[in-house]
Amino acid sequence: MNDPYEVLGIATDADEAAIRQRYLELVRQFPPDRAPERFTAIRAAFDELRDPARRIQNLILRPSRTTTLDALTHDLHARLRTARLPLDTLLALADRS
Amino acid sequence: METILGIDLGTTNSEVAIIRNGQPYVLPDDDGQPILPSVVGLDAQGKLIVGRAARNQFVLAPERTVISIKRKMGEETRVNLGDQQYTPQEISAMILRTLKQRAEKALGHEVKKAVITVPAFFNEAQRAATREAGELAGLDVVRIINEPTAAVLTYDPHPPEMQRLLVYDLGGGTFDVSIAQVEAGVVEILASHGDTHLGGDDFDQRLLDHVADRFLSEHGIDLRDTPISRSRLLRAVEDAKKALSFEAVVQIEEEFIAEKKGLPLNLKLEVVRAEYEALIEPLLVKTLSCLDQAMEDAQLTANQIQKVVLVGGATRTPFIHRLLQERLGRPVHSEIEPDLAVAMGAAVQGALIAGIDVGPVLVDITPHTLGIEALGEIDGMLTPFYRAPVIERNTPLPATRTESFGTISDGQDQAQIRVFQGESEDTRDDVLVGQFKIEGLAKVEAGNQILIKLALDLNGMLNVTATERLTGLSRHVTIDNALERFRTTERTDAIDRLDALFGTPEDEQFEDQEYGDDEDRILPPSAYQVLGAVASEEANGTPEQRQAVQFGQSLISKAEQCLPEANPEDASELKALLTDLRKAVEKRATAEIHKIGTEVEDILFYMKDN
Repeated sequence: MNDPYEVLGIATDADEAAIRQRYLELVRQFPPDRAPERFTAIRAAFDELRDPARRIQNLILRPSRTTTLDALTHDLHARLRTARLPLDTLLALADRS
Repeated sequence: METILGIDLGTTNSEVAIIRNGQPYVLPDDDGQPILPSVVGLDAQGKLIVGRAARNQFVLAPERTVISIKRKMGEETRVNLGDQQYTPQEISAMILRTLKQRAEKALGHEVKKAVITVPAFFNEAQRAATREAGELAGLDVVRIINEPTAAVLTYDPHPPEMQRLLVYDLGGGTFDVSIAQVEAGVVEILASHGDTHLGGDDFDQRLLDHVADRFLSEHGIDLRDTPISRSRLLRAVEDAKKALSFEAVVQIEEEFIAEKKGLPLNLKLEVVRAEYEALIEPLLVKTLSCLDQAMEDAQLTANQIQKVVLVGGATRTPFIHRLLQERLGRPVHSEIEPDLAVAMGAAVQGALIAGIDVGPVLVDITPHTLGIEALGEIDGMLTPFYRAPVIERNTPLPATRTESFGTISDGQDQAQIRVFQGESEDTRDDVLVGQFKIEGLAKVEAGNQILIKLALDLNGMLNVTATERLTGLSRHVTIDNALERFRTTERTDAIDRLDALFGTPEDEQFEDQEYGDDEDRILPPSAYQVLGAVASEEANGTPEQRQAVQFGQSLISKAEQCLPEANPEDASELKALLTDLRKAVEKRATAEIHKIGTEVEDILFYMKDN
């Protein structure tokens, strides 16, 4: 599974509006009838990120390039220290509960 | 620039539109009428008539007239027209061909391509039948698009702010509700729901029954019993229905509609609007529950909808406006021509495909869930009829999803893959889209993983691939119901019959149509086989070779199934041919496969008839 942020070409702290703007831009560039495969990938990435809960999951458990458990744990620790969750994502999440 | 027609093939009315000076324009007939009634008939001399003339004769010659054929699209059925029987596709092709001729006359040149609209809620079989009707009419159907989606395409794709539209499309025979989101040149359909057998025709039927029941209790005669009194009554209630959109009371009057003891009986009945509304209310309640479902699927509430758009002739009913206003708490707009919007939107889509204008990008969805039949639990009970969803409804198209399934028993070396469409977890309540078998699985313990990939394209064409994870063994089929049923030989016959009816001699374009290599087309050789086609995904060779091999292999399995029923003579001939066919398939000899394959098909066809 590809990193949705990479597919969309946006920063991990992009907010909802920015994600949607970028998605619309890419869909215009790669419409479903002219670039079906590219569109499917873009859409899948957008679906990963537009839901606040899934977005957080993604930020915490972003696909790792490492394979061993140790490396993975290390990676995760490092990421949890650095990953910044955008404010609106956190607020949206709070809204849901 | 190439012209691509936009065609609204409706239950009661059809239209054809083009783009003229950057604007969609519905082409009128010689009398200036944009609407072509979707009625086909034979006149007293046996000549084919399509449109208003056919509709006019329906009252007096119902046996020579076919109405509302769209409701039968996708069904394996025939309708009578004079002394001949036709498939729904053929009847629809007559309407399409009339529209094609109208466009050619207006444009002064031949037109070969069209976008045809279908109800959003049409299933795969109904879509395939529509595409087939287009092919029979000599049109290359470059895209099938959903009617409510087409209506949205007539709106400005660049609103100042993101705009959500709810399209309520109630036509003569079908109902759709779609929710669209329009922003920055992108039109996204968020959810669609509907009923492919609900429309103005049903309003007529309710009113007809009401009037006929009254007449029956008064005179003891059922007007529904004889075709002519029935068709006269139908025409009368249609007019009454239309009048009730403007009047509070209408008189239904038909003189000499029946006879009793040698005396003529007249029909005279008053219908009050409230009475009529009570008759159709149960139908409208159904449309509202579809609307609720679509809103729920789109995760929206009424106040998040900026515009309600009414499409389809039946939405002229004031009662519908009232109900929708109540439900959505806002006024409804019917500012676009409710009868013409769909054809206009189809023309916009056609222009986009032809590359005329950088208009909106359209993201449409599939309204039905596609799944695989498997062993599973429904309400806590284990059943073999569990529908495991693979592509959920409202997924944007094109959609590709893979799910993993496992064999049930130890040493199981084959599996039947059955693909269903519908919203029930129980496959017995869903529509079977296609099925095939994967054979030669590794003989291992139960739980041998089979990956099933469903790929649904923009036109609703479905590709299914089953792969055994352990060995990479795979089977791939393209599913297209209508074409499987409508074999090539029948197709050629159908085109011939159509030509004869239209009085055109052996026609121009059909020859190369049949063997053209346009990728959009779903014609032979691979199209009319669905079941048990076998070809490894990484099978090498040219696409033609792969198609030929698929074609050959599916024929072999089909023929093998028929062998036990064949008489000794056919059986031995078939066996000999199959031996040759197997060799040809092994050698991947394309021409040979087709040559022998055609002979095998002929025998099978002949056997089926006997």
